[in-house]
Amino acid sequence: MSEVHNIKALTEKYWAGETTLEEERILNAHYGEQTEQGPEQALFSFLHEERSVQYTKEVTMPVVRRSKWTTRLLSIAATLLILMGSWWGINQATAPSNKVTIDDPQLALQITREAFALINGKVDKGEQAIMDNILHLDKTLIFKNL
Amino acid sequence: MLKAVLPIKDKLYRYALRIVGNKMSAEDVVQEVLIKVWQKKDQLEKIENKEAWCMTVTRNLALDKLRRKKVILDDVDDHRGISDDNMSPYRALQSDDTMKIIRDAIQELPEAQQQVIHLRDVEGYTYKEIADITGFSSDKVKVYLHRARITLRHKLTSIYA
Repeated sequence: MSEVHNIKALTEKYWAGETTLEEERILNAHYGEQTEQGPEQALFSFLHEERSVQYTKEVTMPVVRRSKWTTRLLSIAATLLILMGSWWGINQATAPSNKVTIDDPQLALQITREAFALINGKVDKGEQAIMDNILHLDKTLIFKNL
Repeated sequence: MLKAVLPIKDKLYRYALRIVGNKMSAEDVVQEVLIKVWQKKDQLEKIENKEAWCMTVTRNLALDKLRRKKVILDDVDDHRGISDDNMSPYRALQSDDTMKIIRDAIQELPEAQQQVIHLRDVEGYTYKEIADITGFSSDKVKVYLHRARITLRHKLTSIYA
């Protein structure tokens, strides 16, 4: 008897828009079992039917569509890249090389000796310049108090 | 991305259907929501309540569609998606006329009340969630729900009197 009273009170609360979700679940369950037809049974029956409506269409992922301008710009960029790559490749293939090939061993030895002598001369000159600077430095240090 | 949408696709569809009242238009809305979610997939991670956000997007797109063109309402049971074979014991007791009366009564409610009663009584959202989805304040949500239920009670009581 108290349960019926409770449901009646809850129903009044429901119509007044004051029920909690939990109380609404109780009412749903209660009126779902009722065979007696009435406003509440009709409404909860309707709501139950509404909840069973499903989206039956196949869910498809959206296709990424580029605008015409984006596609055109990408095509132009790709073409330019290919052209620049080809130009660079051709240039590399036809550019004059710095390599010197000497087939005669004697000539090669002579050229190498000359090259070393040239380097040696440069190193000697550098060494002399350093020595001159050191001496100049020593004099300034030695005679700095004079 | 689909993980966020797939579990609630039925809710999105029902909400769209409630607003546009037409099966094909509601399906279009759901498809548009998917595209919108796809476009915003980078920002989706930052959104706290993804479901509420998807419902809001559905609401906006459905309302937009409704305003752009006057949609033609389907036949009463065309958009329900259930056949007589899987009719619930609940439903078996009710005549089609009663269902139609209730559906029409809800359809005649102001748009805001229709949305609130759908989100509360069909989808079971809290007042706070409904406020987040619709943009109404929680107090307004309560007022709209109260008014909607009063109107429905009045209509239903007159039928069963």
